[in-house]
Amino acid sequence: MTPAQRHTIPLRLALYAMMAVLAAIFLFPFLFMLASSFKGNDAIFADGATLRAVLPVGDLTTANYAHAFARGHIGHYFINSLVITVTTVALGLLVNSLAAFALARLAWRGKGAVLTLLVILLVVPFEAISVPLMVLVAKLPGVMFGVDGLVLTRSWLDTLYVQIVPFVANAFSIFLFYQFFRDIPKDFDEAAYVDGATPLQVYAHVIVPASLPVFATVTILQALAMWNQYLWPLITVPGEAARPLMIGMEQFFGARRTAWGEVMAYAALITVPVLIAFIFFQRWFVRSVVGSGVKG
Amino acid sequence: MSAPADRRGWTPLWFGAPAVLGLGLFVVLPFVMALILTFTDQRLVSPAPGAFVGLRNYDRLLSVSALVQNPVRDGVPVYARVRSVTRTKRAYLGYRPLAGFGLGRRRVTILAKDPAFLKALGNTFAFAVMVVPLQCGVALGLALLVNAGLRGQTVFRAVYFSPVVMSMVIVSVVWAFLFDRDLGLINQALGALSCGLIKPIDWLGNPSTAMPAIVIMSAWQGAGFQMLILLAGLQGISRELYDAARIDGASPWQCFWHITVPGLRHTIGFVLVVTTIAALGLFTQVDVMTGGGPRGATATVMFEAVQHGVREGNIAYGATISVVYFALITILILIQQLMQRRRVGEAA
Amino acid sequence: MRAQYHTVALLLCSGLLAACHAAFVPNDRADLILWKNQAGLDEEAETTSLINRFNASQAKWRVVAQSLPQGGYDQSVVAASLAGRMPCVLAVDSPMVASYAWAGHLRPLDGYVPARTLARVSPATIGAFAGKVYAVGQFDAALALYARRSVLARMHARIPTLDRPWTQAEFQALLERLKASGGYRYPLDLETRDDKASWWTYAFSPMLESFGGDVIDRRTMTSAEGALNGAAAQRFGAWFQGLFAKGLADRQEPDDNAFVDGRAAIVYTGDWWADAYRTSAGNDLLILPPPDFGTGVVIGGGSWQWAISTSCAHPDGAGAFITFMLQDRQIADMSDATGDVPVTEGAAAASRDFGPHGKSRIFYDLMRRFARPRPATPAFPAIATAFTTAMRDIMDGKDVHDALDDATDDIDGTIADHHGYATAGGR
Repeated sequence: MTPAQRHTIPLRLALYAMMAVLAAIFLFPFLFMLASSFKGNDAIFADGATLRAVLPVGDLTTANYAHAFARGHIGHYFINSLVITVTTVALGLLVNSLAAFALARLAWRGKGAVLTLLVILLVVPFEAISVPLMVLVAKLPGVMFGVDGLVLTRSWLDTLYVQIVPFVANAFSIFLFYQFFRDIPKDFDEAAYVDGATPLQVYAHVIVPASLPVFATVTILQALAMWNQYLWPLITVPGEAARPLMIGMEQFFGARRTAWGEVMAYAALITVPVLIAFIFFQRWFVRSVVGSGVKG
Repeated sequence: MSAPADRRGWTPLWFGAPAVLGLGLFVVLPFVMALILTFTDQRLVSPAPGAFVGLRNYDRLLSVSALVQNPVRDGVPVYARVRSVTRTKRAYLGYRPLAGFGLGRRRVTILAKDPAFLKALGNTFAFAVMVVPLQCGVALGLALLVNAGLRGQTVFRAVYFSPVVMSMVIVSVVWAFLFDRDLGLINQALGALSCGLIKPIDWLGNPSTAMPAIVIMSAWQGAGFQMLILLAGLQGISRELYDAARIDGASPWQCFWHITVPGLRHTIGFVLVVTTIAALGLFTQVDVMTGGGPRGATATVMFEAVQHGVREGNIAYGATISVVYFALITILILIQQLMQRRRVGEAA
Repeated sequence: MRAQYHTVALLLCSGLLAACHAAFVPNDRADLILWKNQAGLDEEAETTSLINRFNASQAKWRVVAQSLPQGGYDQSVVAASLAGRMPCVLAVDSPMVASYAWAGHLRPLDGYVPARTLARVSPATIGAFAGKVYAVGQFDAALALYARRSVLARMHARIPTLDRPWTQAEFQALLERLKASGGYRYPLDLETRDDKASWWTYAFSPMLESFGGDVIDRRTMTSAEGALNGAAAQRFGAWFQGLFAKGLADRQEPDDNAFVDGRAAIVYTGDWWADAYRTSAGNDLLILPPPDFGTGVVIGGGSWQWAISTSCAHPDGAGAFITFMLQDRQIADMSDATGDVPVTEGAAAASRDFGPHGKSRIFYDLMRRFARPRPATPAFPAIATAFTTAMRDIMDGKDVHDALDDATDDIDGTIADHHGYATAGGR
């Protein structure tokens, strides 16, 4: 019997009702953003105080979206953000899960201390290290594609990789992997070792397949963090070549009068793909768990 | 149980090396640089590297003192203005009043060199205490709901997750509207639900409601994030356990209490830790919604750090705030770890 | 095998093409990197065409522009200077000119921009420090009061002019009458919704100066004692606090639209709102000078200005660009495109809206007559933060004298930490 079939009808209705009410609460600003993206500045504020704020009513226009594409360079920034996100997440999954494997599955001295250190690193807020980190990358020798090919430069500023490399190793991801790995029964490991496997093989063939939910979770969370990156590129990427999406949104705020309609359109263009990706990614996440049948 | 030789020794090093390199170079090193910065007077825009000033920044951040005043004249107690004392007497130079109370006929004023920071410290802990149960509770509820096996739950998951994805600027614009005293929908809804008994509340303008408003918005925005982590944990609990329990005739409540909660123990612990740490580092919401106001009621430690460090250009002082904050949290974590180890030791 | 040959052939051809291209493209122009702040898409577009016109007007230099968000501008400049990648020409917000100059990031304009060009420009738009000129603006902004003629008529209020502005008493009485009439939630919109220090200092330190105070004693430039916490400043603080205590102004309007919606009768903001208000109020719109609070009308002066970096390899090129930008025709074109206030009389006459009978002439007059720049000192970020904190606390009920004393102490402390910035002064 599936879980769904077990619930009685009144219970199901009650649950649906609860989910719907919660959905309304959680969806409110998203609907506001979508509705406003089709309105002009004045209409947004006129409707702001009422429920009309979330409804696409009144004078609707697609001019905001046209502007976002035409004047907003959104295509270029989108590709930058995509490259940054995919690279950081892919490298991060590898690097962080390997480190977590070492913590959770290998025996060595000082594990407790390193674990505590890891939790402590979680405490360091980015704002605390942003300025020293900026000073650091400003002086790190880097590479760039110049007119004549690969060129050595004196700093990492204004590149795509300055937005990638510092964020690959991530204490939060390591911690998340660690917690999950700890719960996987050691019997599988032992069986593999008895068969003569190396730790790397145990990692690849035992732990990873059993940890797909946490891999999916880390992917989603890291991807989101990198997609929404704002403070760091703001100070290290002055140019437009390597500029990511969130910085691109700033151009509508510039002067003193904010073009709210265009801001909303731009924000919608950033947010909607992420949510769609999330929905699709989820299906894979759930299916893989149901199929793996690890626990028990 | 002894492990094969190659599970010990150098293997862990290879596994952890890239992470250690990354974290060391891009987190630890800048933090150490920030630490060194706290002993200088370095500014953001300045012609020369900062000069060494020893513990001056820490002194300016943490010094406290007290002032006891007698009434100026007999009869109704009137006291001299605290600032006229602190701005003239050498012993009190640089101090400002933090809080005051009466002691008999005398007035005692607690002084601090940076009362805004101490207040922010209090605000930050208060915020964490309020938001962590709320956010984690809501997240757990949501995770259970979207894991119940109902149709369409993937869409609901995306819906509950959507605030996490949205830009903070847009979220704060919407919530500023919602919280507005006269035009906001929250007050309108409260008034309608209570049939006019609840008067409009100036959420963001009243020092006592500003922090709760930020708590509500933060919990709303972050719940989806924790929900996702709890979902991963829930997915890891074997279905067979539930089936076996049901065959034995267990009620849903018993299932929850005896299977779900123990199975989620680690995950819940993790979520609590992470939410607490994030709450203690609160910055963006305060910066965008209230600017630390009114009168510092919503200022948090990191807000003060950015105000002084970046906005005012005093990066040495901003770094000092970050370092002190970090030290405080680390001490708390170490205490918690010690207590945990002792508990485990006692149980063994 | 064939695939390999194809690949090699392709690579060889593209290599050859690249070499040929490099050989034939004339590269005798020197590139000048320019950094500007993002200030809206209109200004972006106009600056781009301005740069194109400059590039087309001569063959020695080519200006290449990069547009940065304002939020991290200072940090980006610092990062660039650390990395040795400063642009040649950069836009600097006028109150920050002194900081950048003191830090050695800027070189004086002397010798690169002719003195007679600088003499034509409104004094408030010159960025000077320690006796040298480091930056000059192509446009400025002006603060004003906006109101509706019909509303003033209903209140039997006199319409103020540049020569006869409202006094404090008149202004106060009008606001209280408006409040009493019941038609306005908060009669005056001070745009306090924007909590940034740049706005608060720009908007409200002129009022302080009109009362007779100042954010710093400009004679010595080493202390704010007496200026920020003296009697005049306390009068200003008390009046400001009273606006909110009496419900004449809202501490945080929910949006920018109070005047357009009719929730506020008078709004204190800059010229950048003029078009929106004209659309909404039409002929009923009045653009008025701010009140004279005792020592004359004062409005903020100095917007984003252009400077040459110390590390620029072609300062003469940078100077040529800035000189080009200050031609009346270029200034006029910028004003026409963006609505910003031109800085020379000639440009105003040549522009569409700022000529003697132009619809925005009043902003030019306000700027010319009443604009006073913020103090030219590297302590400005500290001054701005301290002043804003004090005013916001005063708005929320803190004791005025205490708040102003605290701000004064913060400012004096910062200046003392830097030993008065060695070179005090810079009027």
